[in-house]
Amino acid sequence: MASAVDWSQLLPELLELILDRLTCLSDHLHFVSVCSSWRSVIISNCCPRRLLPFLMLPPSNDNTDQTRPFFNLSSHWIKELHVPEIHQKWCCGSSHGWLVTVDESTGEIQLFNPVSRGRIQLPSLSTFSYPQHNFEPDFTSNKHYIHKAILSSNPYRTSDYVVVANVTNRKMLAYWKPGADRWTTIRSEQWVHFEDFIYYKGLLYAISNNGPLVTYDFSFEPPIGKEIIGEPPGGRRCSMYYLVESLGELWLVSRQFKWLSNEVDNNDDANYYKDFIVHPPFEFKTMKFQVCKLDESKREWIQMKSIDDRILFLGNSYSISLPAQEFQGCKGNSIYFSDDYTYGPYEPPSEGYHDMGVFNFESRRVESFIELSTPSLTAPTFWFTPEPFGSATISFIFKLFNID
Amino acid sequence: MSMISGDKSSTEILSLKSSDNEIFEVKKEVVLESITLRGMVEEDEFSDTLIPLPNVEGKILSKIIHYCQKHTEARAKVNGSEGAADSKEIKDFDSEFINVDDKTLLGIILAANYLNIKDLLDLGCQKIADNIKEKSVEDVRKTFNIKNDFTPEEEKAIREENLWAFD
Repeated sequence: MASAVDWSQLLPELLELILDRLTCLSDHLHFVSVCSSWRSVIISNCCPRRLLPFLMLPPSNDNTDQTRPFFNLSSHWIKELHVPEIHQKWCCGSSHGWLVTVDESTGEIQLFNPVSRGRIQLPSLSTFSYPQHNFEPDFTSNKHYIHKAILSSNPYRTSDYVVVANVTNRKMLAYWKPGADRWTTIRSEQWVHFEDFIYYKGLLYAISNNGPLVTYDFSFEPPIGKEIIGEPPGGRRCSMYYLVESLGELWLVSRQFKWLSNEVDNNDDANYYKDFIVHPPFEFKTMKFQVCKLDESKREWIQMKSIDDRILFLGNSYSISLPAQEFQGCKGNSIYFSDDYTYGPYEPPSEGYHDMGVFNFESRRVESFIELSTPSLTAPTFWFTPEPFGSATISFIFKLFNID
Repeated sequence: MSMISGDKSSTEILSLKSSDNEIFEVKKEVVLESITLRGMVEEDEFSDTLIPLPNVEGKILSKIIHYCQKHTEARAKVNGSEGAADSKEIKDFDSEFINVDDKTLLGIILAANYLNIKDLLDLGCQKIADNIKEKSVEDVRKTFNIKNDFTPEEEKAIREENLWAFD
C-alpha cells in the first residue's frame, strides 16, 4: 500500500490520537520507532520516573469481566485491569513486572506481564522433582504447593534468568531455567524452611526460619550452596523474615505478630505494645518490624534503628526499597506490608489475607493505607511495579493505570 | 457544482467553498456537525455569503459533506439519541466510507481535524491505527512510505530499550 503521501508529517495532535488507539504495548513501541517525527509524541509526554508499586487485589467473587483491581497508593484509586490471561488463576509471585500464576485445574504455571500482556509458559505443577506433587484438578493443595516465586531478572532484559520458588510446607527451594522441561528441587538436609529469598550481587540469598542465611550460585548446575551466617540476630524470635536489597546493602527484616491470645513473639517493648489488642475474628495482626543489615566481611547482622528515607514493600512479591523523597505524600522510614502468611494447605479462615498496613519506625505504629469494603479476602494481595519503564513505555503505562 | 440535500423544506442552506473554488450548498444542520463551522455560523458572520474553506479541497470536502449528511439523517431517525452512531447501518456506512486510498484518507483526517468533526476524526485515526496493528516497524514504514531518519546509534538505543518488542 505504498503511496506518495508524506505520513511522517502528520500533526502531533493527530499522532497522539492514533497512538491512543494502539492498545497493545508492542504496537505502541513500534509506532514510536518508525521515524523521528512519530517519536516526538513521547518527548512531549512526561519524563521517566519511578512508580510506587500498585497493590494487586484479588478479583471480586462475581468477577465476570475478567479484571483484577490494582490499587494506586498515590491517588488511592483502584483501576480494574482487564486481564483474561490470569482469570481464575492463583497468583504466587510478583517480580520484575511479571506475575507468576498457577492454574488450579490444569496445574499450568506461567509468567504473565500485565503491561505487555506477554506470557511465558513454565513446566507444570506435576513436574516438580521432589516431593512429587500428586496433582489432581482443583485440589486445594495445588495452590499452596508454591508459597512464593521470584525471578532473578526481567525476561525482557535477558534470556539468562532463573525462576526460584519455595515449595511445600518444608519450604524447600526449587528452580527453573529457560529450556528446562521440569522444575528442580534443591535437596538439602541442613537447610530447609526458606522463608524468603532474593538476588543480591548475582547470587540468590535465602533466609531459613531456623536462622541460617544461605547463598546459592545458579551459574553452576546443580547450584552451589554456602552458609553465610548461622543464626539470625538475637536468635529466632519473630513471626516472619524478609530479605531486601537497599542502597547496595542486604537487609533482613523481621515481622512480628501479636496473637489473639495476647502472646507476643518476643518480650521487647512488651509494655509499649500492651495496648495493641488483636480483635476477633482476626487471629493475629502485625505489630512491628525490625531491620538489620548484613556486614559481609564480619558475617554479622547489624541492627538498624532507622531506615531513614527508605520505604520498603514486603509480602510475597519480590521485596523492594525506594526513596521516599521521590514520591509525593510518602513518609520515609516506613514499611508497607501485605499479608503473605502461610495459611495453606487448608483454606484460610474467613478473615484471611487481612494483615496489611504501613509501619513507621518513628511512631512505631502500624496504620492502614487502604480501606477495603470487605476486610477479608479470598486470596493474597501482591505489590506490583510495571517494568520495563523507559521513556517509550511511560505514556502507555500511565494511560493503562489512569495515572495523572 | 452544487449539492443540495433531498429535503428542500424550510431548513436554511449554507454555501461552502473549497480551496479549489468548488461551491457546495449544504443544509445548515449538516454544517453544524463541524464544531469549527458551528462557531462561525453562530457568530452570524456568514449567514448570507459563502464560507470559504481554503484548507480543504473539493474532492475531500464532498466526501466530508456526504459523511455529515449520512450521520445527521441517522441521528434524526432515532430522534437525536446517542444510539444512531451505533446502528449497524451506520457502522457499515463508516467502514465503506473510510476504505479509501492513502491520499484521500490523509485529506479526510486533516480536514476532520480542522473542521473539528469528532466522529469522523476518530474513524480516520482508527483506520490508520488498524493499518499499524501487529506490523513490524519496517512494515509500518513500507505501508506509510516513511523514511527511517534515525541515525544507526539512535536506532540501536531505541531497540535496546525494549528488545523484546522488536524481532
